[in-house]
Amino acid sequence: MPAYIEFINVEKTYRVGEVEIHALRDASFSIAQGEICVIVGASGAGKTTLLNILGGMDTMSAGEVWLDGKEISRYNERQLTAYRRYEIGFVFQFYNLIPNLTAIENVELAVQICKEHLDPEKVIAGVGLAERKNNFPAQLSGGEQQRVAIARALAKKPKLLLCDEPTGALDYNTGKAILKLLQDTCRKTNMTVVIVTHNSALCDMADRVIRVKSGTIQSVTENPAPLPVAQIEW
Amino acid sequence: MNALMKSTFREIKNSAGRYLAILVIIALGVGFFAGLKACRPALIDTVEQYFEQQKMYDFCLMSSVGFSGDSVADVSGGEGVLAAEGAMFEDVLVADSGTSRVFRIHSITDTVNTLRLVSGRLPENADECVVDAGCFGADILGEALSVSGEASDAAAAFRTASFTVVGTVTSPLYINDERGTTSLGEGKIAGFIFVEPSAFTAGYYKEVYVTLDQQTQAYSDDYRALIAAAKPDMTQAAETAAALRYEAIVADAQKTVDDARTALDSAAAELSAQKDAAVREAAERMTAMGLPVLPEEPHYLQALAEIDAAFADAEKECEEQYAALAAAQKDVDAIQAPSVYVLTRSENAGYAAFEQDSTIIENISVVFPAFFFLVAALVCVTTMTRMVDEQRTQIGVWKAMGYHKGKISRKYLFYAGSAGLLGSVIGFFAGTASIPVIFWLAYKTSYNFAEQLLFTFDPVMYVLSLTISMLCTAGIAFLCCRSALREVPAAILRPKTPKSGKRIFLERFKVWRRIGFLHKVSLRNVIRYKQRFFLMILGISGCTALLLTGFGIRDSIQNVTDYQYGEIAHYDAKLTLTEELSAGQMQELLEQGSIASAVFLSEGNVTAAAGDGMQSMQLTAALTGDLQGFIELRCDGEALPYPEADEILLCRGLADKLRVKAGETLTLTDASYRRISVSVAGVFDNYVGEYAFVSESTLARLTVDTPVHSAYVCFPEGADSARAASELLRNSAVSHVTLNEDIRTTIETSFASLDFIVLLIILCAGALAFIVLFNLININIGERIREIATIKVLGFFNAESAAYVFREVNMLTAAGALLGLLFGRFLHTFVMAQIRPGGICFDSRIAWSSYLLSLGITAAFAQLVKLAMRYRLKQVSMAESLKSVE
Repeated sequence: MPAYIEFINVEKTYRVGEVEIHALRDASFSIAQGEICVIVGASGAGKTTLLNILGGMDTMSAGEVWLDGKEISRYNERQLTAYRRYEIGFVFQFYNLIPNLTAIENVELAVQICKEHLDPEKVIAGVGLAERKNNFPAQLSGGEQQRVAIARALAKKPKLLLCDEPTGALDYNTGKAILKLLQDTCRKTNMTVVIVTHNSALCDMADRVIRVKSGTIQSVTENPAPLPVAQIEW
Repeated sequence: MNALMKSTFREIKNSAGRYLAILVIIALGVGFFAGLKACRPALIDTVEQYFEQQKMYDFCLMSSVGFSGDSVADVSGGEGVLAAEGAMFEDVLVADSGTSRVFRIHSITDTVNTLRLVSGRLPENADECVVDAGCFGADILGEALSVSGEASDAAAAFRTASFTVVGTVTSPLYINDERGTTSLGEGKIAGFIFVEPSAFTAGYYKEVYVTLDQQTQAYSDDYRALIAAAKPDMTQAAETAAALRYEAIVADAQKTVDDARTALDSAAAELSAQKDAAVREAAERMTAMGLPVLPEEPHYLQALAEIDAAFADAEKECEEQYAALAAAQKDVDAIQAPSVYVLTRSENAGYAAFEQDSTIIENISVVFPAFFFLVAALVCVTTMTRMVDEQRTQIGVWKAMGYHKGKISRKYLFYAGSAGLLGSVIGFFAGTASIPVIFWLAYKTSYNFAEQLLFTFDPVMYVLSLTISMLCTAGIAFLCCRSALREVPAAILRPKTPKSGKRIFLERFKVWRRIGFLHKVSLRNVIRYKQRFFLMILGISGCTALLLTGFGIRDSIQNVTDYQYGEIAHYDAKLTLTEELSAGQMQELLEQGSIASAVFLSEGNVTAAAGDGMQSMQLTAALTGDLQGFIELRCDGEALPYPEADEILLCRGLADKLRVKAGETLTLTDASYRRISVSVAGVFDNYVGEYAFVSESTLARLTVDTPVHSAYVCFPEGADSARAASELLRNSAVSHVTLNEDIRTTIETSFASLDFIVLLIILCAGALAFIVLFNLININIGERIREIATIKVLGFFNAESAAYVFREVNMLTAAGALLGLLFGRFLHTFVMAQIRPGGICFDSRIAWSSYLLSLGITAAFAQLVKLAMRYRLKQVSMAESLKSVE
């Protein structure tokens, strides 16, 4: 019985002209359901490649990826799209809200293509933006925009919440608030959350830490006693 | 090459799509502009070259008595005359595979109107001929044509009754397929034949062709001025020459009479001498018999009576001969002074038709290009604005490095300017080389003088096209980057605050909540970018408008002859009569089998004035005061009564030219400056020709000395109109027959070329739609690449992403297309007004199917572009969503 998320000998090779670039080599690890997993590494270490493969945004050159008993690595383009649509919630470093839609409408945008989803109003209230739901992204602060992005991801009821440097564009306090929101959500709803970051201070809040360097997995460590976000500092 | 130039060239390479869009729209605009403008010069240069090589005549002198050989020499010696040559012609019947057709045989002239051989050689003997290359192929060579006339003199006009064909030719006298009419056979001349002058038996010339020393381009104002200036001299020369021939004829006739008189006088003198001798003899006999020679003497009386009786017959005969002589003298005295006709090239059917055909294109060659240039400017605006926006940081870096404003802006000027330059060069040469050729394809069928058009290069047009393209590209680029360059480097290096989402006015209404929200995004996007909104609307509506205009032109032209000859003019032909017919003559004409019904008319030329409008027109009065069955006088479907005294009924074309409406007053002036006022009783629908109807009494007040008598006739059902016309021409009272069928054919062939215009318009509409849509969607995708990547990450399928992006394109296409129908309606009306050739008034109705077709084709064009752009959309990488905002 494989784990909830399972990477088995995953490789990713880009060809640029004559040169082969190994973005990822022989990556194997697993993540259990309901865990907060932090993937940490310097820029160019291969963490974004990991995220892309896990998120169904890119294909791999070799190896297998499993999620909840299904082999993602065998999916074709259309199946991958459906996978992103129904199984994955995505939180971007730069929020990527649709500038022309209000906060609530941005959530609705994601929801309306899902069969089972949460009520956008409730989700937006859940991230603390009930009052500002009718504002356009340009009228919101960075932290507020990231909350909307999280709400947009959560409203889909995904099996996996993928966050790419969720605090990268935010100041310290706002960043912490966002991480707290993610941690609380994970604990409350037993959702699996994968956070990709270069900030190793975030490792303390994780149940599992995967360190990446030069396209290889350096270590996978389980953290028996993750700290609440309030207690970590960087 | 410096770094900035390198960067510019890489820019072009990397954004080839945008660069091409500017290049192509400029090429289209310039190509259309220069190409349409080049049509008339190319056509005229080509025909001018032909005229020059074939020594096309400038004047054709004719007289009712012809000209003698000597007087032709006098004309050629005249001032300003390069050459003058007498010519003869005769219409004959040529039997040809069972049927006989009418041909006109001309004498070959060497110094004017020379022939161009198509095959074979020119005649060397009087029994050889060359024939119309428009009627015969080279296979006719070597065959013998036997000619005959219906009247015996036609055959007697030639020394031989049969000619051997030795060649086929074209002649500058017949540059199109119009060969003229005749009173022989079916009334239409099928073609021409040229023979040596020596083949003619006549001792005089029917016409004299003259070329002038001074030569300017045909159809130019200079040429018209030249002809107008030379015409009085020519008329003088023609009159002198005709007078010479006239005097010779009169002198000849007089001599005959005089000779007869001398002979008769001597005969009469002889007779009276004989009689005197007889009387003397009788007297001598009486004397010899011893009887007195006295009047009382019965014997003498008897003798005298006998003499009288003997001479009575001879004397009577003599008197009769004197009477005949007096009659002959009277005839001689009555020989009419000759009338002369001085014709110019304008009276040549081919020459005149060519001018009209080449003008049609000229008139529309401004509107369409102007529109394309406007779109080009807008395409350039959106492209350059987007480019400058994208490259703010880059501009900031160049500036921070100390590059001067002018140098940086040069990159953008070069980018747009080089596209404009290349586009205008390609467009200019492609346009001037292809569009005239396309038109020629259409015209070639009715003109025979050249296989290919000359290529004309007009430097003024080139500079003009180039200037316009530079304004539309480099000029626009300069305006676009000016504002960005004005900012300080630090400000430019910071990303421009993105345009925030805005609520649009629609959201204030309840409807907004009911709109699906993907539509909301699109609606907001549509209104967000005003420039693009306008470009899109202009481009799409332009496409639809062009299509509608194209189809509309076809509709209007197809209909015009149908309406005219189906619904308005029911008569089949118009007869010009030699004189006013008596009731008996009318009856006689009507009883001639070829006419079913006729209405007799009087006509007169007047100048009409209303306000500041002046227009010369022909007034027509129906003698019966009714035109029922010949012309429908209707205004918007309602029948108008025939005008009473002092009223006039105008056709729509004339009323438009004079800008008068029913109820207003017109002043009519005739050639002798008699002037009357009439009120416009009504304006009737009419498409071909111009008509103004008045009552007979009104006309009589104006044209007492110069009325023209004519008639509208209808042929019996199913009659062959050409045959009926030739039968009518045999009646001495009929001098000319104009068949409506002929007019109709002429109009329809002359508009055949418009099909090419329609095709061209449709192609251009397509190109326009493609460029505008491609440019906008391309920019739109480029700008929203993060947004598109994000929705892909969110799990939108390809079709859904496409729908998301293209929805606003669809909205704008729909709005643009509907607006385009409205524009198209105006454009069509405008174009139809421009291409209104002499006497034709188009009906500017457009068929419903054309509206639908225009919408449909616009939608199809949009669909095609979207199909191509879906590929581009598919290529958008989801990794774009992870990148930082630039």
